Amino acid sequence: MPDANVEVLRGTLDLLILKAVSWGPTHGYGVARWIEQATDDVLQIEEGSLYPALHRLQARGWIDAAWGVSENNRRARFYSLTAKGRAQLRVEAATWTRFAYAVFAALEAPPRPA
Amino acid sequence: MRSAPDPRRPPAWRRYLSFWGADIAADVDEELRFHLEMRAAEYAARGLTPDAARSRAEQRFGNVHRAREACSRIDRQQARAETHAQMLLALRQDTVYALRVLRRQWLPALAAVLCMAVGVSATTAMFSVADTLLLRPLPYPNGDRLVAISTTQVGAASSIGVSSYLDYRDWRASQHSFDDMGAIGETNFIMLHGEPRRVSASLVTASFFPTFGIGAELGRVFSDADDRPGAAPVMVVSDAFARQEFGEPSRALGESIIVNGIARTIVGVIPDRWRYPSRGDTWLPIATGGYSGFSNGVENSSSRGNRNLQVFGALHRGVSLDRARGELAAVAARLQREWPGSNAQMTTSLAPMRDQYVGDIRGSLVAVIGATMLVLLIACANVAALQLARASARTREMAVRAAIGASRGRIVRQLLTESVVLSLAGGALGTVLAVWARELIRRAVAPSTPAWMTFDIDGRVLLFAFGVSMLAGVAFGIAPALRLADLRAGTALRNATVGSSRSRLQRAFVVAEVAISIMLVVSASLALESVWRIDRIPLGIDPAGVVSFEVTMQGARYDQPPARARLVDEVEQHLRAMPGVVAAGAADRMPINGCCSQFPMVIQGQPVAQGHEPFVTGTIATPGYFAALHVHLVAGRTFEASDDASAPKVMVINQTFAHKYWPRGDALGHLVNTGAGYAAIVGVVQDVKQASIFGAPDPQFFRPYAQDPWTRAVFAVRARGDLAQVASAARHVVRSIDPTMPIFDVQTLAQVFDEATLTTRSLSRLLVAFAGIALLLAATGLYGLVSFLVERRTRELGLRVALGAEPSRVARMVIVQASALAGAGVAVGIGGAMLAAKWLASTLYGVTPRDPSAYLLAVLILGAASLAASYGPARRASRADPMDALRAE
Repeated sequence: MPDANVEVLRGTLDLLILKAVSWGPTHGYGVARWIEQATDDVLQIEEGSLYPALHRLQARGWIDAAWGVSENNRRARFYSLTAKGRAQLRVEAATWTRFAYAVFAALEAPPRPA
Repeated sequence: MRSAPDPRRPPAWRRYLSFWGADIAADVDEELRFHLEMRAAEYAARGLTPDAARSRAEQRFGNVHRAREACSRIDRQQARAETHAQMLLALRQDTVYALRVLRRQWLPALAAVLCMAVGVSATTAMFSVADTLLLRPLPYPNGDRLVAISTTQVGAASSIGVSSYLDYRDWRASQHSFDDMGAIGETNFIMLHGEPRRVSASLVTASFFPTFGIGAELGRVFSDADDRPGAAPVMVVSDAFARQEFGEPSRALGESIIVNGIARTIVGVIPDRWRYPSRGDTWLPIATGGYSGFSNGVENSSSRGNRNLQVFGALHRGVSLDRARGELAAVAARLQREWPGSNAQMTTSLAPMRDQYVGDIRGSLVAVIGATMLVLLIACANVAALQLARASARTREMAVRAAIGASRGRIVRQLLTESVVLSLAGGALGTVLAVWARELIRRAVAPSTPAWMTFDIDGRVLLFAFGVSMLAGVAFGIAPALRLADLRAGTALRNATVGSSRSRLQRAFVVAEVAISIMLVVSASLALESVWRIDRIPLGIDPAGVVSFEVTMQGARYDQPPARARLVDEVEQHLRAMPGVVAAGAADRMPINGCCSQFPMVIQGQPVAQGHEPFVTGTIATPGYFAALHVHLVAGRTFEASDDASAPKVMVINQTFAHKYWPRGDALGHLVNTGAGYAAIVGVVQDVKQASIFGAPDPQFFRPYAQDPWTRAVFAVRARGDLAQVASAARHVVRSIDPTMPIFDVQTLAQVFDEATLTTRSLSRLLVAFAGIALLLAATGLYGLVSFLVERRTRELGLRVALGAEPSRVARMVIVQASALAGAGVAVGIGGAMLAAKWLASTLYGVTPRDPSAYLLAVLILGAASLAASYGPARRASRADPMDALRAE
């Protein structure tokens, strides 16, 4: 179990989903597992909001959905990144990184002169 | 073993399932279930029991139900959006294709558009007129509650229309159904503001403006304090008047204008659209009206019978008109008992105010609506026939499309798009034409309408036009579309004749068109007959070559009756001296258009109970009146110069009067009292149409002007030559005698007659136009059908000729076939024509619905039209080359 239970904001969730799917077609469970593994179990996503997020992104046209057969021969819905989604992923990743650096810089900043 | 299945493509049977359309809820369920099972498997691999693993998985997931709802919602929205996008795309494709097709066959398409335009323009124009007259609310704030209250004689068919001030006061005091009541009387005043001018003024009670809901845009309207005898003289003017006199409406406030010798202050300006009457310019309080007939009605209680005011009331919300009727009738009954002298037999009659404008024209309005509907129907039938004709060229195209998999629905939709594109184009053109047609229709329905009735083509009318076009497009497109789409691919491709059922439909259309045409032609000829008869109504006078104009003698100079008599005499003499003038006379009003002054009448020797005296129409006339108007003398004499104020009282009566009371013809010499003492009857004249051209004349008497000089005099000048010059010369004459007296209402009697018959003449013009259009359309339809039939039978006809039939016989066959169609149409339509005729008879004057001549004429016209239409095809048929027929075999 992770030390701190970090809540994942919605915008960040979209970014993570896009990244997860960018490696190739995955189903929803696969996306959840990838996020856990990639963040070393630090980020626990609420699965109840994962699926609506997936559907939303699909409606937006950033990811495509198609029914397929999973590795254990079950019917599952696979998501893959579209060209639009790839561009969106680049943009959001850059924004988020800048945001993170800014917060980090603020946290490390010396106290304001009196 | 087969290759490992591609993880992304489900097996074939799974794909087949989704052919029936995605089931969104089931899909979401399956997706979430998969997740939970995988998670449970994960926990099971770590050592939990299947049940525990399952519940752990669900716990970790969170709210499955909420997730399912959210996903379903998102998916459903997306599915809807996709469907919409697809529909729009299909629509655009269809429209583009339709335009391409229409451009290829542009001639029949153009014909269809024109037909549609005609139909839509007539219908739209008619709707605009009907909308304004019937549907749009009156411009006054309380317009929907306004009621016109008039005095009626018990048992009389129509009301007198005007009421007395004292009656009005009593009604207002005793009623509970109305928010308020107001009274208005119209008159003309001389106004001095620069040049002396006649101004149309209305005398109103203080409650008048509140009753209508009219408020001033500047200043104020009258208060109770203004409407008391002795109050400071004030007036309210219209915006247009203020602009005309003072430039700016705001500059009018506080200004003072001399009206009939009294200086009045303008205290308020009201907006033009709220004027009542709609051409009024000024309003004065009734109590301070000054010298006019009303000052009698205001104070003197013996003048309760002096009826000259229009009364209106605004109903309380929620109170029904019938309740108000009952209430006022009860008040009237009480007044009957209390004032038998003036109110015996008098009761009230109420009608919504809209009826004042619309009541008269209901008949012509319905006639026009019916006629435009018929024209629209014909236009649609014609377009449908054109569509069918075009369809014949496309059977192959349709068959090919069906063969390669286009669904029937898709084909029908695409054909309907064509029809709708056609009809919308026609509708757009029609709306443009409607602007011009509107005037034609308006004049046929309601020639004189109040100023606020503007027949605009506004949003509502445009919407109506659009709706009609769409409806028509679908209506006439659906039959051909269904027919065409139903083709079996096989038969069409083999080029068999598929036309028999289609030609049946075309035949039906043509028969319908002929039927409708005959209805319109019969109506048109009946309307023309009405006009013809109206021109021959005996008027009792000869209006040709007569100019009339009116003067009002007001002010101190004409206070005394002898002064007025002198002026009229002087003007008459000067008029007679003008070059070209044959005769000149004057009276209180001219015939044909002016009703009337009513007088209670008592014949000496035939006593009548007080309060039950009959009323007769009276005209105050100079001796010259009879000569100027060519009134025909039947017995005795007309007036002479010696019948003046010092001479014994005399009167002349009309034939109706004489026959009614002296059926044996001995009217001369009897004494009759019409409110000014007993006068001896010295002459009987032929009836003159006084109140209106239509209807039987009422008993009428004439009183010499010199013996009762009124303040109003209308002069009639009979002259040779240019009447306009005569009119301006007359103006000079009057000005030379009294420069401060303006002259107005200058018109020829022929104009007055035309105005009175305007509705009938306009309606007949409209019906003739419609009948012409209908004939043209029906003839075109017939021509198209007969050509098509001939074409179909070219081979057969060619064979006949080859086998020895004479070309003329072949031609005759074609003509007979065409005539049979036309005849069928006539047979179908004659019943409708008779109905239309019966209905027209109730609206127009002198229409004899059972007169066969109109029907015969219509049949002849249609016969001629059908002959003309079939001439071309018949000739073509007779020229059918037998070689062509043999070669084609």
